[in-house]
Amino acid sequence: MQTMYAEAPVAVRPDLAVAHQRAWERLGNPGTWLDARKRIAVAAETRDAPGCALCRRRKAALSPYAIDGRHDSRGDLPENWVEAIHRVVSDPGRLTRTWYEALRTSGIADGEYVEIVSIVAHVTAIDTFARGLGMALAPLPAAQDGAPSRYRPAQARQSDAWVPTIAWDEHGPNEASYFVGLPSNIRRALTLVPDEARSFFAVVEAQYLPGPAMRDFSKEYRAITHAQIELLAGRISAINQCTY
Amino acid sequence: MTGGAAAGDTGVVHGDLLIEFAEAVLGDDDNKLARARTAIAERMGPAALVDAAAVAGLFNAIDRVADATGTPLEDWKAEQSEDLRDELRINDFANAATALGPRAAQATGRRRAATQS
Repeated sequence: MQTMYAEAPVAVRPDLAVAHQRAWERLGNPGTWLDARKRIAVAAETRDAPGCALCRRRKAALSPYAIDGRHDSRGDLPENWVEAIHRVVSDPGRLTRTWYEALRTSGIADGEYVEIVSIVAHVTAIDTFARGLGMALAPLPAAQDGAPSRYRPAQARQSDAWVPTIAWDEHGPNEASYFVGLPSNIRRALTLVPDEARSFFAVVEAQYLPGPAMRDFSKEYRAITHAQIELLAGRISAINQCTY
Repeated sequence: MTGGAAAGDTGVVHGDLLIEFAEAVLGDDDNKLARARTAIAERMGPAALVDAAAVAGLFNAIDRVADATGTPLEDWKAEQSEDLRDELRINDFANAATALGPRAAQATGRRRAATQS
């Protein structure tokens, strides 16, 4: 994506461009539970979700789970997958454990769900960045052949989150390089699918700050200060009604 | 933070520009976003615009990771932020009970009850 950002209206930091390029290339490759074609379909559905009439009605409703209907979708994915993607995109602050468990009962495996959430998050991070700069969205990558790895870490277990995660002090050798620094629940969130966790938090470091820099107030690492970063982040999270 | 641009001075340099940008980038008014973008580029510089867009994009995504996985706030963070969450009315968000976890949510409930009695 370094070449894509060559057309950007302002210069994009090389580390940020590289992180986005890596994430975009991963998107077009087989994942852990989804093949590349499904990953691209999830990404495309993520982009289409804001135009869904059902999601708009639910977003406007006091009781979004009382509104039935059919999503406006591309038709490339099962309806329960579309439901997962669209709700996470359009009304994340009102997701419930009951809703998550209903998706599981409908046939979405927990690993598939975590990979779907991760794809939505990657696309949202990169597309929102592009919108912020006034750039056209990057074309989705072509799907590459290959089978998903189907790797499930033996240490992942049900804990405080809805999805199974790896506890900070329970990881195995395959994930040792990921669990460094201070324990963090949000860094655990995607660890049922470790490759997704690694990829997303590489994007986090580039778009926000690396872990040690978050709490190092002796110097500034970006063109905006720690205080400006946290104000902006806090306002985004408040609009999204995110308590975390 | 929760009151938006209408809430006034944030106490952070150029905080007003960043709040306007946050609201515009998540909104659907392209003209408002263009004005917010230009204001940051002209008054804070193009590198600041890149970093502001990066932070906005990242938090728009990581909020979804937290909410969609039911990830709770760490107990120590919940305890340390209790007064601030109350002041900013963050405890009123729909997902507060999930994000705070049962212990912190109970503590907040007890604190509110004591305040109101």
